[in-house]
Amino acid sequence: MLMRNAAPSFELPMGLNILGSDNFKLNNDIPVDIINGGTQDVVKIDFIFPAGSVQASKPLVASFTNYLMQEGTQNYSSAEIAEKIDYYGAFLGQATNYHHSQITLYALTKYLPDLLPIVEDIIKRPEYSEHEFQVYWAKKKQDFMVDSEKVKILAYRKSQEVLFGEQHPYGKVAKLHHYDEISTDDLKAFHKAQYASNLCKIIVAGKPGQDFISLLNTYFGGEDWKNDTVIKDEIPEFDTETGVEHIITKDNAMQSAIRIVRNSVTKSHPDYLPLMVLNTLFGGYFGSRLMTNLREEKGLTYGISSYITSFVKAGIIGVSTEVLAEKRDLAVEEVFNEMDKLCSEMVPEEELTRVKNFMLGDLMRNLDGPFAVSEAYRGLLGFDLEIDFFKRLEETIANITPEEIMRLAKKYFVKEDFHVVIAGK
Amino acid sequence: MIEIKKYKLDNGLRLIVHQDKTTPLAAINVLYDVGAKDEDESKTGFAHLFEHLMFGGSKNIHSYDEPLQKVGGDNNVWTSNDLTNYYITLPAANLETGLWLESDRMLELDFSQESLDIQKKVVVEEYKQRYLNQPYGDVPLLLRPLAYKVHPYKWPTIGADIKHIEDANLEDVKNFFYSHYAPNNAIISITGNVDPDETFELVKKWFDDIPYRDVIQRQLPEEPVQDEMRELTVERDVPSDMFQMVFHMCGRKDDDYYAMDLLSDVLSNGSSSRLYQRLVKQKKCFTDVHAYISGDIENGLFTFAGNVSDDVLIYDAEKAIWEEIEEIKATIVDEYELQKVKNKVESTLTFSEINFLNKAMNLAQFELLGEAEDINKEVDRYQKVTAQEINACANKILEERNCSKLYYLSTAKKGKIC
Repeated sequence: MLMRNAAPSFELPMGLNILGSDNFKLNNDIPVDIINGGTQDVVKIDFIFPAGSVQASKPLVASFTNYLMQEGTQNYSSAEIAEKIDYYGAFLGQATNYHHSQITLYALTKYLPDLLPIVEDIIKRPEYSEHEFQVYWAKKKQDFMVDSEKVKILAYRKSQEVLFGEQHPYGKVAKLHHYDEISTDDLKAFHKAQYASNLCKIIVAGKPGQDFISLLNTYFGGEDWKNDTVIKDEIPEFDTETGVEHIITKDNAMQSAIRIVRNSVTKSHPDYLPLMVLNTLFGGYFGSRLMTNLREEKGLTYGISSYITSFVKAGIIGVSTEVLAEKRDLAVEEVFNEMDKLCSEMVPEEELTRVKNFMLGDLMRNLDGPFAVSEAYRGLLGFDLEIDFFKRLEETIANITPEEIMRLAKKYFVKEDFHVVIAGK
Repeated sequence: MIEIKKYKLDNGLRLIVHQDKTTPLAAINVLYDVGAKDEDESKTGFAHLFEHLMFGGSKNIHSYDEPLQKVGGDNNVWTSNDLTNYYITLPAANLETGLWLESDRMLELDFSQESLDIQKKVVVEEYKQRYLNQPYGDVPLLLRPLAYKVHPYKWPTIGADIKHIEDANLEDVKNFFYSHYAPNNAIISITGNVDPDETFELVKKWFDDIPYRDVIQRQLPEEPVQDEMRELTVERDVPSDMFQMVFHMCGRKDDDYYAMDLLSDVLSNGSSSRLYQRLVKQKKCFTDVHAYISGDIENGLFTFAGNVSDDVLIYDAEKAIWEEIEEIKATIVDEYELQKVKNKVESTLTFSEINFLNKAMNLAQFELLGEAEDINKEVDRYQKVTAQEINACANKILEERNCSKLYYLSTAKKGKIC
């Protein structure tokens, strides 16, 4: 007889088996991490530079410089680059954050020899023509205007400002007027300063094939693209006033977006890993306290989540949701109630076990396959951390106690330390 | 090449297993052959509402999520006009927990008024968050009823009217469940680090006693052939104009499907594509523009969608699209351009086979369309398409009488131009 009301036995998802990496240096000393593996003959190559918004003198410069690299170079027009990338079935990705920018090539391994010369030109010799700049500028400005209609984005932008101050590199959010203050000269200068061999890191993942080391050396291993820039990651001190509610009014909004945020520690801090557990329990997964209370019990929202973010020099603990406009005060109150509860009541063993096991499974998911592992490596850039960070995370999850959860809650879930930002009606 | 094994239980449940030893995980994908197209016109949004109700506990298990989280699993679901797709990823060693949970909710949901009331509220908030409180969020609510007059594709999965969700009662919910949720109306695909035969035994253990059910025979009304151009103009508080235009096209199983897909690729796949290079880069009438097919199982839509540049009139931007349409109807795509889009398709398919969960979803969908094995024939089917076939497709559907257009105007822009 089938016992449908009894759960089958299960194994704890422990014993993280992260794909190993090889490291070597190109002839010009560019460090390369390689994560070999996967089932398909495909490869992902990240070229990473200290070219984020922290290093740029003003907003938009870092992301424009990064994106427009592929829109025309000394040897290939923008259209030619697009043709070749598409013809070989490749994909080019770009990303810019506070401390880094990257160009990512996704390709079928067999076409690497055809694609790398193009990527070389993109990285070393972008043209930044006025025409391409204008096309991209018009699109980004329009995107910015559309984003400015979204309450969620309005709340996010404001939250960065209140956390760090409007002049701080982490708090300086792009504004409409910034679009009129950049030029191709800014991009050329930023490219010259921040995209050079002595600043570059490369991460390769997938099945890159036999010859790829010599291929990389051919196109990127020379002495022809170095400069004398020293990497600067330092940021100024910040000091902001908490306990104030910030409201951005948008009359036609049907929902209010809420951000409740505080400054916190970075990945390098000993509290960071255990905070990941507290965060998951609080609002980091579908069964979290916040989801259960605000969505599953009260139906106030389609979704609510908490998060911890770590930039290189500072961290954030935050809560984000969009709720029925009339119920926003109730929603804010309930978020703080849930924080209080974690400070005053010990987490039941059963719930903590569920969170731990969920996180262990999630860790397995997040480190599954070469592409995921390469993302994990990238997430550690700028911190003085090695891949054993994830092993330590696994141990932290497995061993954390209800007492430790309460200690952290009492230390970080202090209402007075949070900023409340609301965008909407 | 994805190697699979297929099984079938006496109650009609189909199972597809693909072993992938490179991952420590497994995916369980449960596809139910029910989508928004199966809804009663006066009770729309039900297929999607189930997405929410299916997590409210089942006959013998009061919570779906908790036991799954406890074994390191995660899950989600999506609903389309054609189907409802539930999926789990978990450590492969704990596969049985997933099967236990999925089988119990296929057997019988724990229908409760309380859970229904809460989930109705959540869906109403989802409706607002996605469709009403986002710039351009109501486009699907406007375009579908313009393009379809009879066929149930005329409403989006969230429903034609949020009132249908607000009015849903427990009786309706039960009826919907027993008429669509059944082993004989489901396909399970399991991928990852699992042994196929052992997996079949486990599936048999948990699903074999679920009774075969009389699923409502699908009888979809046929959309009459459109005979004149339709258009709709709306004005909204958005920063810039958006233009969308749709044409009726064939369904997913039609012989023309692959040529239609490549037609959209020539126009719009990648930044070297015609629309992007000519309309965004050269003429600058759009800041972004795309052509794509819906991929629906029944006769679907071929869509053009673009964000109009701030200093361009929407009607001039539209004209630029029609010029591209005329060109692709009048001339045959050359060999190089055809090879380019085929290469891109091959690469996209290769990348889509990296992830074991993706493979599980794709296998279930191919089984629904015909046979899971067909997944390995996709590249070939695209390779066989000729430039003449693409041209024939363009001439078949890209005509004014087959077209519905939406001018989505920005109030602010109108003020500036006048």
